[in-house]
Amino acid sequence: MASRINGRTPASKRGIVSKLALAAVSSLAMLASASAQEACDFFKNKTVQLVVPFSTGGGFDIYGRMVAKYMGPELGASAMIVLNQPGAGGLLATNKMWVAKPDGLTIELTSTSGMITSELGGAEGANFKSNEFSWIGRVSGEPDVIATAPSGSIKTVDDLRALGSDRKIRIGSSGMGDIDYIEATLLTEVLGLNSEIITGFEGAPEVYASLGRGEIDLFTSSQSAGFQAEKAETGKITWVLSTEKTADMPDVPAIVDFVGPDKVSLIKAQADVVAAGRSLAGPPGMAEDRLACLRDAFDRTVANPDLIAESQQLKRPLAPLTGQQVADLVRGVTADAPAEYVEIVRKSFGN
Amino acid sequence: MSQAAATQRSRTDVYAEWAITSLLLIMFAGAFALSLKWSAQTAFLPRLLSGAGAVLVLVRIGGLLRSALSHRPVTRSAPAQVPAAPQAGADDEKVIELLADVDEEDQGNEDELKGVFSNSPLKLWVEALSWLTAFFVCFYLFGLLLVLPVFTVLYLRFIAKKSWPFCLLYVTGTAGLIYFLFIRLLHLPVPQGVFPLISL
Amino acid sequence: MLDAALSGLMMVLSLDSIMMMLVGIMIGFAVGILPGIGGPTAMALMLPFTFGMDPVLIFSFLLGMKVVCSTTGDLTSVLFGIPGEATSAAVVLDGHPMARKGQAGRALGIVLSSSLVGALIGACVLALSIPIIRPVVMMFGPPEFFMLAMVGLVFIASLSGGQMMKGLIMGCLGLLISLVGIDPHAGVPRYTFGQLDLWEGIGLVPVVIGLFGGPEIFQLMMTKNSIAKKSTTQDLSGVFDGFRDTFRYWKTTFMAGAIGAGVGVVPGVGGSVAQFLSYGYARQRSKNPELFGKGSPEGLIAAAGNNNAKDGGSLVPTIAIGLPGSVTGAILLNAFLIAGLNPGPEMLTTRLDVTFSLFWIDIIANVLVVLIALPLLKPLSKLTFTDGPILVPFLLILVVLGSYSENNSLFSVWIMLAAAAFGIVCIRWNWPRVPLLLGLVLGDHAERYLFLSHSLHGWSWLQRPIVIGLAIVVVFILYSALRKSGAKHAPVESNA
Repeated sequence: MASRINGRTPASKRGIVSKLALAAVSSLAMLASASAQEACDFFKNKTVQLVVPFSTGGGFDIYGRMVAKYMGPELGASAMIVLNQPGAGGLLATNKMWVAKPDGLTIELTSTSGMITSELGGAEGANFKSNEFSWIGRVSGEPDVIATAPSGSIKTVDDLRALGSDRKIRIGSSGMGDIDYIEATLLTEVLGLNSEIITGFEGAPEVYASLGRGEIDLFTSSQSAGFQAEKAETGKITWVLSTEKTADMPDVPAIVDFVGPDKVSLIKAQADVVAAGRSLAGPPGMAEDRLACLRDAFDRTVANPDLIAESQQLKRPLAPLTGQQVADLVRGVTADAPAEYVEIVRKSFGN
Repeated sequence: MSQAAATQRSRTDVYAEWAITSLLLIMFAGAFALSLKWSAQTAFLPRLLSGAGAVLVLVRIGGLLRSALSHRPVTRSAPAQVPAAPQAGADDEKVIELLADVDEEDQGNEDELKGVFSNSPLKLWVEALSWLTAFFVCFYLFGLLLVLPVFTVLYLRFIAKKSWPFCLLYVTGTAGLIYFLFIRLLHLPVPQGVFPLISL
Repeated sequence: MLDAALSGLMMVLSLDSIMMMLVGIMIGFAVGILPGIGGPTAMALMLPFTFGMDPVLIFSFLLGMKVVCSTTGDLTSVLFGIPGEATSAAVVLDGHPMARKGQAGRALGIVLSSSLVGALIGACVLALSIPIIRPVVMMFGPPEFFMLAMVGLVFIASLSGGQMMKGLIMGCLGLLISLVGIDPHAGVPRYTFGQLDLWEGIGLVPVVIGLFGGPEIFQLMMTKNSIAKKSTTQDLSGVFDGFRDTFRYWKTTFMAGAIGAGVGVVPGVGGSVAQFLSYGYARQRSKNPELFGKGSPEGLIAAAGNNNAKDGGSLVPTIAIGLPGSVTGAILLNAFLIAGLNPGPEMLTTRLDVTFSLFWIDIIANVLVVLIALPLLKPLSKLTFTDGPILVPFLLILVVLGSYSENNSLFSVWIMLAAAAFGIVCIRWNWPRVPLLLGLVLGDHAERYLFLSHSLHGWSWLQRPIVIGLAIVVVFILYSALRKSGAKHAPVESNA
């Protein structure tokens, strides 16, 4: 009866029900070996482990599972299994990956921006060089945005400066060393703000709740978290933290338009770090041909229309880059980062 | 049990109280010492809590000292004719009211467990601990998939005195459940040992 | 609004959504029996199967799974003394002693019936709060969260098993242990001794499993007896006695549900502490507080009744402003996005029917769980009469897997072992374990929100009305705990 009210045919829904029941019970064997093309023979009948450095159920995990489901068959592997290895904000898994056997059977979906900033900032516990990992490709990368309170008076950079002459601008952050802390420090620097960074929030939704209550003035987050906050009316995206506007938000200006010419390189460096996003990497020193196999399989995976459809359904958009592009991007921001930028990152780690 | 045995046990309890309390003092003091090199905000709660903990432990040590000096520790009204059964023994075992606020009325479930842990002969401790050690060493070295059948069969044969068919059924059932849930349904990893002899 | 409630009900009352609920309940039942791998893990791993489904079907599936996991967590707590989830630790305190007395059936009856009543209260809180949901959620900020953590902490006094001094020491220790890991403000690792495994703190799940389950298994290995004493009559028919208990102590049941739903609303602090608030409060106002911890039906009701109630409450901040109240909430937030729903005003206006369907799903799933679990209670309670050694290998594997699955790391297994050893020492020498757990649960929140309150509001946070109200509650609880313990000492002495 409810289905009639909804105007949907019961049959199709029952189809989903039975499909799901079947899937749950027989667990859907992951479509293994369905479309193994001319994948490198090495991976045939092997199990590839995709390490996700965060717990099950988060955004990272969803990306990992989505990619693993489609990439396993592309490699010709018998299975590609997601292994959640949370700890130390991803450093635990990344440190392990740094010393893992580079046979291509263990790869990681890295939080690349976190990895790079930990390295640049001299974070305790970061025992790797991001540059030397065997980069396979970027799954997603979205710009960060700067949000203000939905009801607040801050609409322009001038408003910020005016408010800053009265009292300190409050910028929310999860804690020192987090990417939002680095961005808060960076904004203070490039806009010359009179600011105070409020730390200790547990994740972006909590900072947005605080922004919604009007307790803080600014917060930077990923674009998708910003969208969610706009829908929930706890934040308003006011600038894009980048050197250019994004296609999704043509009306929102890029922050680079409001900074002095000498600070543009800082914004670019941060935008590049963030752009490294979520990327696949293997341990350093992987054999050329093995890495090439993985890169090819990855490129085919992200071109798969089923994967693209699924990612849209899940509101987890893909933004693929090839392995070579990621490697270049990472080298660019680690080896060639402006000294002033490195200084800001180090300061954000308390170093 | 004899009066002598009861005295012996209460003495062990006094030693244990001292040991636990001293250990706690060392932990709190150590935690305080470690916090000294942190910034004021980072160290605020650690210092507050380890400080408060240390003070409380010191007060308690004061109480222990007072009762040690004033009179020998007494078991509360320990009736000498208590039957030897472990559970019943728990009652006179309630030991040493060293501080006025001890009120074992509220221990409940813990009373029975406490009885077991206080009255079991050394042999039982050694036996249970050996089995556990074997389990965890084997688990660490060879992973869950080996320890599951081996430990289960050995334990059921030697301790539970069960027949072979029962063991087989038990192992198949447990392994089947874990296989279904972890491998098939949830795709969760099962702990592998340092030298995994069986892997999936 | 009534329209939305009705059409929400119609959406849920379809064959498909009931089917989905059943599938979810089945999976949840199997998974929930494993300690540690409760609702969140199962839900997260099943999330991919919901791609492309209708919102109501997704929530029937996921909430069904969640509800049954709350209940099965309580089942293992009662039967084996091993908390199935961190949120069912308090159920062990009275549930397991009842099983030892041979009243497993009655205890399980209490768990089922009080969970159901609690869930109904929780669902009602969810439904009634819909018109005022946003302003209410917005009223609670870091100062209020901090004060709620304080309310939880003062129960250390009454949950110390009468040993105030030892309880306070254990509470301090628990709070101190909760600080292990990266400091939430300065990002400095504290008490981690160079171990990256400790950076995110000591996991609650392995500690709870070890602290409560460890001694029980060890005890079975030593005595080789069955869980229930052989001498007791095999009273398996007690399930309905349990149902009656729930209604006999209807005030406790209602209070447990209300506390669960109310505290469940508070993000972060909710789940793990609601059980102790409810249990501690029930103990304070009980006529027979001395029976608590010895198999008091009242204590079990207080603990079990709030568990399912908080599911309803924890949806409130997620729906209102997209702020997940717990791990489960975070996964549900993902599910909202998958279903194309945007938490916030949209869910309170144009998609109000879907929001109401959550409320109906919560109710119907809880009823289904009771109906499904009912025939299983007898065979399950028989387990408490089987020889201990038969259970030992299975239980050992359960606790190892349960703690391992928290992070897929052996480190958690060692934490669990350490907690088990510590638990045995605590029992042997009369150190109360509950204050330690309370400290461990609340320490992180207390610190986080104390500093946040100060940096957001200076000292003026102390003048906020809700903060003052909660401070009065704290004083009241402390006062009545002290008065009770003072009053109780005299008769205890004469008993001895």
